[in-house]
Amino acid sequence: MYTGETATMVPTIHQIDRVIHETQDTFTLELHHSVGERGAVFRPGQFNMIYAFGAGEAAISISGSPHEPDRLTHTVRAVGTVTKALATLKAGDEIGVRGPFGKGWPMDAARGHDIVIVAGGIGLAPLRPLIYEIIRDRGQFGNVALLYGARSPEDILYEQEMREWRSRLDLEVIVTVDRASAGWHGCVGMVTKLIPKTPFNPYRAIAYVCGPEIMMSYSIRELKKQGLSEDSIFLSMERNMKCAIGHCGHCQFGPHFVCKDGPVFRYKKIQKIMDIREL
Amino acid sequence: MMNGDSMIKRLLESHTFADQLIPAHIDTLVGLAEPQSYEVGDYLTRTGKPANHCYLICCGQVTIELYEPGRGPRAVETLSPADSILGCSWLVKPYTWCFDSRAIEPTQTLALDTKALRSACETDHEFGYQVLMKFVTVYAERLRTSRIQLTDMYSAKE
Amino acid sequence: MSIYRLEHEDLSHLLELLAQGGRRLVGPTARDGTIVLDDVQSVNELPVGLRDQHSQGGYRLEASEDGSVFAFNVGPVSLKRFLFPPERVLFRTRRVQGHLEAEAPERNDGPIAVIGVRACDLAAMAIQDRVFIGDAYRDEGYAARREQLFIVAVNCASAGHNCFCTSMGTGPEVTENYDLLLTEVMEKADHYFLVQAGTTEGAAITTSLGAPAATTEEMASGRAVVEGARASVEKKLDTKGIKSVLYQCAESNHWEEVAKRCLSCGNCTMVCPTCFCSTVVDTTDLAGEFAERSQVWDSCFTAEYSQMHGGAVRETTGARYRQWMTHKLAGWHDQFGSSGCVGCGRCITWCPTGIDITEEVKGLRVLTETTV
Repeated sequence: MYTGETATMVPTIHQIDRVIHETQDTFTLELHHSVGERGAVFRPGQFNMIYAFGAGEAAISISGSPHEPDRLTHTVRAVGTVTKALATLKAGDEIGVRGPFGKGWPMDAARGHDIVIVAGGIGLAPLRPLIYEIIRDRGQFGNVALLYGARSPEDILYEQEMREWRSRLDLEVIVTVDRASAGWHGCVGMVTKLIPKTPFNPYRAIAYVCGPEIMMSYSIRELKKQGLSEDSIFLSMERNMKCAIGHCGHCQFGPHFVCKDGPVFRYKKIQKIMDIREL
Repeated sequence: MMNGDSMIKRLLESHTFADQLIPAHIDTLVGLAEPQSYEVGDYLTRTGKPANHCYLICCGQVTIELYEPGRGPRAVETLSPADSILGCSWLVKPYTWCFDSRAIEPTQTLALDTKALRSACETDHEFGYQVLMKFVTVYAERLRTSRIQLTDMYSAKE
Repeated sequence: MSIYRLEHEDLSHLLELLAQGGRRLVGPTARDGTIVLDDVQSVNELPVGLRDQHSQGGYRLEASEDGSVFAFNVGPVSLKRFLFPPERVLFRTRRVQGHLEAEAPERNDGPIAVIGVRACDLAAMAIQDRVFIGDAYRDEGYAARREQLFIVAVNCASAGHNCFCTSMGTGPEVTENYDLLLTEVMEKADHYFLVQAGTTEGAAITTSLGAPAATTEEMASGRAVVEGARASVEKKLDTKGIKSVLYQCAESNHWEEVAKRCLSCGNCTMVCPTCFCSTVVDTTDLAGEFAERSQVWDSCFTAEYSQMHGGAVRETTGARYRQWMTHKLAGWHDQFGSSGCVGCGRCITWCPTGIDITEEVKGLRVLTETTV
């Protein structure tokens, strides 16, 4: 390993194996990952800094399975300079990767409990490794529900996989959209509305929430209404990040560094500051 | 009590709408309620038609639709038993529906006679207060989520 | 550790010894009307006979007329610049036969001696040590520079108008983190330095200096210098329960009041010896064969700092000032176990509108007291 001036700031070059077109502005990059390279193991909920040649880096959550060590998967939404540069890449092209960084979804405490996963939009991506993990160890959990809110039926991520998950008898999967189009036969309305429909024991359930901040606030409000404690709710935050190692200061959220203290936080830890504007 | 009424009472008591209502108020509601079944595609309400009933959804799923010429019916929200009730147009003049609603799953409801419900609320203000609070609670939540949807929070912000 | 008496005329000898072994010499020097830290070769480049006058939003140099070398307090450049450089290349990427290669450039800043470092800046260094090398992720460049740094500290002889080190428990007396410590004594016609070593490297220098041990009287004079400095600190910041004061005031209107005066220029963050924020700059050549990523100092007062897709988290100046001050005085305790402020007063001096952090704390205290 390089031990120069800024070893943790230097990306490792990875080749793109496959680009999967997910929605109009979202795509998944599957990278070839040699076992033994830096960052070969990750925990669900962690992220990498992805470098597009000359354009810069963006913090992108890892959206693949933690049990496929030779593949590194990121689902990216083209909304900024770097992610738009990433959107132009194809199989065979190369990008830089630093990571994995941050605290992931705590899983061990969830074993033996009911699980409620509430995802909104691209927020499904950092939750997917967790879903893989739960499915793999399915017997160790109680009821498991995945509630997913998308903007429209065309914006639903991982459609094929969602169908497979819905067909499983041991997963309760409900998808809702804000704007239905013709031919949509599923739910319409905010994802929070799905929470009361979901069977879980509030005293023995763990909730994992990821999506836009407004969506997370209102989902948490509904989860609490159903009896979940602040201790049992985990959410993943997003802030501007430049270094991912707690040195650049950008991702501060109150006293927390989202990059190293998060991105996954126990709700109880940040509930007091979540509603403070411009924090 | 007649056989049909005891069935209605059982349905009502197991519905979230009845949570914390006193038995007398439940009995009043039982007198106004009628069980109804809908096949997929059946309409519960039609835009512009009199709102003679409102519905407690017991099972199934209903979509609230807005019909736009040239674009057809568009679903703006779907409701299931967890959403408790369907319809508030009966509460305010001119007591006509603003949306179409249609079963998208085999659906069972308790339909409440809204003319009788209005007059029961008028006669017994305590009953009226309890019933209106049920509606306000549900509709405040629905307004809240609609407002959040208005922000289009999943869209890419440029 | 023994204390020696170094004659005023022999300061150049000390500089020669420090420069041995290829050490780069950095010290205070007057430039463009300020005293900055920069390369110095000889004593006459030091700010002999100059002192600095600080006010809220004001700074000027004037003659001290007594020939003192270290009569000034703090300039806009702190020790920070020599450990955490304002700009550095993080890595370079190039295409080689169709493949990308990324590597960090070799960099060796070499040994360096910094002369004239005050207690506040040493405290600031200890704080940045916790940020850059005290956690799971180490900044190896910082660590290497820190390793090769030789510190010649100086006890302040008097406080500047904006100094409040006594409130922050950081000065004016230098007590740790130095290789050599100087106390400048001026009594009538007698002008000398008391020298003491804080490390074996420092002790090697004092041995080579061959200066005589200080007498009891001279040591007493040195104590008097430090006590005089302590007594001359005018400004105070009440740190009692400071964290909860700041957290309680998160949604106060006070920040909008500050925002009327704050220009969001970021000067306070640039002169602050503990501010550690940085951003990155990417450049490429025209052919797209080569790209470079650099790290540069950043400020929480810029709009880009909190940029997410769609906009900045902190749009208003009030929110940015709150972030800076709350981080400095409250969040820092949670993050690194100490205050992020050392009481050097630079942010007050170099604020174009003279915003005074100690006054802002007083203002917030009044608010929390009236709301209780």
